[in-house]
Amino acid sequence: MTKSKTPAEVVAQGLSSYLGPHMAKSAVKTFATKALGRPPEMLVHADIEPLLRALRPMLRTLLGANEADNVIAHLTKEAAA
Amino acid sequence: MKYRLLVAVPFFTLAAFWLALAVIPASQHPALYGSEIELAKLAAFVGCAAAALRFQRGDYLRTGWLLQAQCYLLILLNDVLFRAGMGLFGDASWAPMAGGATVLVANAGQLVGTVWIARVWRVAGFDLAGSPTVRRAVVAGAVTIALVSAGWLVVTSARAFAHGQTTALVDLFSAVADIGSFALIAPLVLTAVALRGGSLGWTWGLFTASLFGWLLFDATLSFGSLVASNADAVKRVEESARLLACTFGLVAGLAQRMAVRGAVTAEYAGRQAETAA
Repeated sequence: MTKSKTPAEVVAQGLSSYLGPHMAKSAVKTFATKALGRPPEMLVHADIEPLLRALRPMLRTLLGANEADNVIAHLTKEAAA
Repeated sequence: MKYRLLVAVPFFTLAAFWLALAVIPASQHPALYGSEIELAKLAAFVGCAAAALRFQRGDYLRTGWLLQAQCYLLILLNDVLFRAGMGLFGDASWAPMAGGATVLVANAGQLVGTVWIARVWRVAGFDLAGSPTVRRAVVAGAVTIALVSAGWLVVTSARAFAHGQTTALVDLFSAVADIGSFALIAPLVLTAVALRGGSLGWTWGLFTASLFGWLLFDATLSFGSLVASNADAVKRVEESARLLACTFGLVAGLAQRMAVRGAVTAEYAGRQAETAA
């Protein structure tokens, strides 16, 4: 039986192809704590959208506004699926 | 895989250059160097412009890449227009000053562009790799290497300019800007390490490699004649360093473009998967 991914793992995995696995985990941890006041392991499904909103400025800087929005839209859909 | 192919491009180009040097008679080497210099600058301009144009107006990194691109374009134009012996106006009395001004603008822009790209971690809001002690050590190492490799060039070109050699102005501006750029290798390396394993890590790694190429180029200009008496051997090393710097600039820009395009691809793949489901 496989364990399903936590919301933080879904977001970190989605970002890892761009940021690398280490930075993706670190970014999720930093922004989960800053924006939501909780560590990544405490996040629930409903936290994904606000977490991605918090990550948006970072992604905009690294990928550009248009591409960052595409990544966020993609991850939002993936998390909802 | 595609990023590993990009890493191979500068080394493949360098091998082709050395092969050409071996095949072509020594009397024609100056012509080969001339072609290599202009093609290398053109390639770096194309890579940096390709990266910049992948972003939209207002995107942070667009400015950094545009400033890199303008540098390569202006130093290319300097050769075409003002360089003694080869430029369209190379024989004019005002050409050295015009060339100096062009290179000054180019290098100032390149320095600002490098600062722009190097401080992305601060703007994006993530921490650099390593402990504070390691980071300080890397910064101290980068500043030391910058001063050692290009510091002497500043002294010699300033002396030459003071003695009436106006063409030395170009080297002076380049060397001063290079010291600033080389000192920024530290945050660039630490950003590349922080982003390792991701597509963006390749961009910063390759951009850092380009700066290392320029560092080697300046070190050769500074110390080449001191350690080797054969002028052609020194020129080979100098041009090899320039070729690596420019081709790494090309592939860094292409890596940035590919990394950003990857985001769109992922989104497209997501849509496709959703449609299929």
